[in-house]
Amino acid sequence: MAPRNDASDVLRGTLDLLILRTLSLEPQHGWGLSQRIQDISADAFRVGQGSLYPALQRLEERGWIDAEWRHTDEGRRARYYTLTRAGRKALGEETAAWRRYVANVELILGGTP
Amino acid sequence: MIGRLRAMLRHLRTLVRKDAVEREQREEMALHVAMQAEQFVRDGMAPAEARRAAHVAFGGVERYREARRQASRVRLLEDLVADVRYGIRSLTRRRGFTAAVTLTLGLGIGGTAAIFSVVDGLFLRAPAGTRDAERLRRVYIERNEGAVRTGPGGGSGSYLDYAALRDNLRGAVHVATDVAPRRVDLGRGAEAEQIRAGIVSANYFATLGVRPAAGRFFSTEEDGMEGAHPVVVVSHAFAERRLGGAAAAAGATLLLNGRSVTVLGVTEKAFTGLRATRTDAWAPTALAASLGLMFEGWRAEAEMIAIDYVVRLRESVDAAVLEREATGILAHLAEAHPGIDPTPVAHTSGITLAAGPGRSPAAFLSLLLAAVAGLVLIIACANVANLLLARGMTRRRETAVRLSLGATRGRVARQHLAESLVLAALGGAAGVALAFLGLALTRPFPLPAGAGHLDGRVLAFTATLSLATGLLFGLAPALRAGRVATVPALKESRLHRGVATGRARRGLVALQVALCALLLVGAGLFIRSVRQVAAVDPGLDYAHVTRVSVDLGKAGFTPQEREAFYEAARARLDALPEVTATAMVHFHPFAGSAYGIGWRLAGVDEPGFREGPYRNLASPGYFAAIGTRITAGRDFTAADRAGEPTAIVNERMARGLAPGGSALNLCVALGSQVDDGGCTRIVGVVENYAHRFLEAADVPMIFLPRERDPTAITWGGPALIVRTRAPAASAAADVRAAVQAMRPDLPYVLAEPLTETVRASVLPYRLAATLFSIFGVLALLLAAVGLYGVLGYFVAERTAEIGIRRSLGAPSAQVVRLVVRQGMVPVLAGLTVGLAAAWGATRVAGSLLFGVDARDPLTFAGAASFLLAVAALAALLPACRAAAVDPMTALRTDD
Repeated sequence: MAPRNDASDVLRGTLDLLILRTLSLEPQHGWGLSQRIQDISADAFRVGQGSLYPALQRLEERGWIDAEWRHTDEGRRARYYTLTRAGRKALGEETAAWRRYVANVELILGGTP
Repeated sequence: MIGRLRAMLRHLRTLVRKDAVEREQREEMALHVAMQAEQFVRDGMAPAEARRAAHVAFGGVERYREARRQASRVRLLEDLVADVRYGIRSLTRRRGFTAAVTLTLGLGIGGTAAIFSVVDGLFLRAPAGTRDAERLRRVYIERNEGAVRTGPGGGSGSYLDYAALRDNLRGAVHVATDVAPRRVDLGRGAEAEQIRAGIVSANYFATLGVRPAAGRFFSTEEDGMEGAHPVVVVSHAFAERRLGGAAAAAGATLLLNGRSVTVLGVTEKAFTGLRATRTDAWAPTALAASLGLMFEGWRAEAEMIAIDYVVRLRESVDAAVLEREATGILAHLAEAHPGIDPTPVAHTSGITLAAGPGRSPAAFLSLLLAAVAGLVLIIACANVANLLLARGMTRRRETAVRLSLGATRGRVARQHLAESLVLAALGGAAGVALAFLGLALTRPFPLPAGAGHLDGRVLAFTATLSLATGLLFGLAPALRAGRVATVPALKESRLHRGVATGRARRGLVALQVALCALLLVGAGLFIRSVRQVAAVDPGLDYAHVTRVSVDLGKAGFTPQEREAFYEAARARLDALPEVTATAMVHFHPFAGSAYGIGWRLAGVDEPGFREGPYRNLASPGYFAAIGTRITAGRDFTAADRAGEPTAIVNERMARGLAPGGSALNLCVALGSQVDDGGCTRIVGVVENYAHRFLEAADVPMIFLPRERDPTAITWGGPALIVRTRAPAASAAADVRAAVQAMRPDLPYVLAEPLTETVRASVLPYRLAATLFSIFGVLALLLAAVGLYGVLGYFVAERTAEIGIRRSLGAPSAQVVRLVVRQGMVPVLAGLTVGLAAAWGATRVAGSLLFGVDARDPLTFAGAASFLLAVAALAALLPACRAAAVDPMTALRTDD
C-alpha cells in the first residue's frame, strides 16, 4: 500500500491526542478506536492501523494508557486500552496545548490579508 | 510514578517474553482484520472478498510488525545484537587488525587485572574466613615509647592494655589479641621443620567469626593459668600437610619447641590468619612463655609491648565512639602504672591485610603498580583508539554509503561502538589469560596470603574494565563516524583528507609518549636502585657462607652438651670435601640483633658513635670464614681461651679507641671491667662489615674469644658458620642434612645461606625493578607501535602528495625529514609533558628507592634518550618507505 498524502490522514502528532480523548470516554480495543475516531470526526479522519498500533504502543510505554485482554460483547478476546491516571492528566495538558496552538494559528491566519 | 513503573515493567516483559508479546500482537492484528472484514460484509461485500479486502486494508503483517517494532525500544536491543554480529563479521575479515588490537588490549587489561587481584586481596577484602567483617576493627595504640611516639597506624600494646580493654570496653562484643606469628621448631630428627605460630587470646576465633573444620577452639580456662594447658589450634593447610587431614588432626600431639602439645582443633580452610604471612598454628597467650615465644611473666609486664588487637564492634557503635572509649580506658590504666606513657590514644582501622601491623612495602608497591598498570592500560586504549580512527578514515566511504542509503547517524555511531565493544571483549578475554600467566610468573615472589587469586571478583572487575575501555577507545571514533559528511566523503580522493583526525591522532601519540616517559623514568629509577642494592658491599664475601643453628636449649641440652654438639658438627662438616672452613660466632652477620658493651680507656672520650659498640663472640677462623680480613694484629687462637683477656675490634671501633693512631695492643676496660677494674688487650683489628644489610658498615664492634666463655651472651645465637666451595644457595641443603643426621632427637636444624638472610631486605627493590621494567617496556612497545601506525598511515595518506613533491625534484632526504618531523613533534611534546610529570611524581616512590635520588638526572636523561631513540626508529621506517615512493605510481593511485 502506497503512503497516501491525503488530508484525511490524521495530522501527525495529533493522533495521540485523539486516542487519549477517545479512550477518556470508555475503554476500547484497537479496531473500535479507529472506528470511533472515524465516527466522531464524521469520517473526516481515517486512522490507518499502520500508525494506530505504534501510537498505542508509544502511549502504553509512556504509561498514559494501559492494556488488558477482555472479551467483546460478541465474546471475542480483544486487547482493550484504558486511560491511566497519568494519561488523563496528559490529556488535559495536551488539550490545552492544542487549543493554544490552534488559537495562535487562527490568529495568524485571520491576520493575513 | 506508578505509570512509569508499570511502563518499565512492560519494557522488561517485552524484552524477556519476546515470543509471547509477538503472539499477542498477532492476535490483536487478527481481531482487527476480522472486524474490518465484518464491516465490509455489512457494507455489502461477499465474505471471501471482504476478508481479502480487510487484509489489504490492514497493509500486510510485516508492515504492522515493523511499525510496532519501530515504535518500541526493543529495537535498540535487536539493533545491538545485529550490530555486534556485524562487528564480529567485519572483525573476522580483518584478522591482523583484530589480533593487534586484542593483544594490545589484552596486555593492558591483563596487567591491570593481575595487579587488581593483589590490591583486592590486600586493601579491599577482609581476610578470608572472617565473618561480618565490617564490624571488625584493628586497634592500635599511639603513645610515647622512649623517645619515639608511635604513629596511629601500628602501635601495639601490652597484655595489661589488652586485659583492661577486654574487661571494660563496652563498645565491643569481643576484644581479642593477635601477636605476630613466630617461628617455632616442630618435631625432631629428619622430619623436623620450622612453622609459624601465632599467639592469641581464647576468644580470637569467636571474634573473627572463624569456625572449626574439626575439633574445637580454646576455652577461656585454657588461656588462663601460665602453661597449664598445652593446647594449640592448627590451620587447615598444616593439618593436611603434616597430620593427614583435618579430622585426623584434632587430638593429635605435636612437639613444638621441645614441648609436647595437643591439637584441639583445625580452622576452616579459608582462614590463614590476619597477616600477610601465613600462620600454621595458634597457641593461647597462656602457653606463649612455656613454648619459649615470650619470657616468663610477660603478661604482667606493662612495658612488654608486643600485642595487636582486633575487636568486634557492638551493633550501632561506630569506630569513633569505640576509639574514644578505649582511649579513656587506657589512660585510666596508665595512672596505675607509672612506667608507661600516660597519654595513649587508641586508633582503629579496618581488618584488611593492608591495614595490618607492620604494613609491608609490598602493600605500598602494589598500589604504585596499580597506578602504573592503569597508565599502561590508558596507553593501550590510546593505541586502539588511534588504530580505530585510522580505520574510520579508510571506512569513510563505507560509512557514507550507509548514510546515504538511509541509515541514521546514531545508528552508524552505535554500530561502530558495538564493534569496539566486541574488540574490548576479546581484549578482556586475552587479558584474563595474560593475567593468569603473569600471576604464575610472579610465584617466585611471595605474594601475601589471600592476594593474587583470579576469582569471581577479579573476573567481574576485568569485565567492567573491558567494557569501560571499549567505551573509552570506541567513543571518539564512533562519534566521528556518525559525523561523516556524505557527499564530500564519497567524492574525496586521497589528496586531501582528514586534517581533523590527524590532529586527534597526533594528540593521542603525545599522550602515549607522555605516560611512557613517566613509566620509563620510574623503571629507570628502580633499575638504578636495584643495581645500587646489588652493588652494596657489606664488607664480606658471603655468597658461599651458610649459617647453621639449632635451638638446643629447648631440646634440653646443657651449655656443655651444646658446645660438644657444635664441636662434633664442625668436625663432621670439616670432613666434607665441599666445606672449606667452619667457625663459631654468637650473632651471625646481618642478624641485626646486638648486645651492647660499655668501655673505658684512660684519655679517650666517647667518640659519639651513632650506635654501638656491640659485643660479639667469635672463634678462631671466623673472620676468614665470612670473608673479611684482619688488617692489623692477629686472629684469635686457642691460646685466647685463658690468660690475659683479649679482644679484636673492627676498624670503626679502633678509630674510636685511637683516633689517628693504632688501637693494637691497647688495654681497654670492657663490660664489667669498667666497674671492677682490669682491662682487655686489643690483639687484632678487622675490617668493618655491615651490621644490618643495606646499612653503612660503620657500627663499632668488639669481638671476644668465644671459647673463653661461650655463655657470655645469654640470648640469641650461637651460629655455626660454614664456608663451602659451591655457592651457599646450592650447598646449604647438604650442610643441613649432614647436621640433622647427627642425632635422631635433634630439633629442626636451620641451615640458611647468608644470601637468603638478606633476601628479604633486597626483595622489595628487586620486585619493584622487575615489575616496573616489565610495565615500562610494555608501555614503550605500545607507544612505539602507536607512533609507527600513525606515521605509516600519514605516509600512506600522503603518497600522492609525496609523489608530486618527488616529481618536482624534492630529494629523498627532504621527504624523510617531512615524515620524521611529522612524527617527532607529538613525541617531543609528549616527552616534555611526561618528564615534567615524572619530576613531580617520582617523589612518591622515594621510600622504595635505594641509593638513588627520585630526581636522578641521569635516569631522566637516560629515559628521555631511550624513548627518543625508539620513537625515531618508529618514525624512520615509514619515512624510508615514503622516500622510496615512485612518483608515477603514486600519482596514478587514487582510490
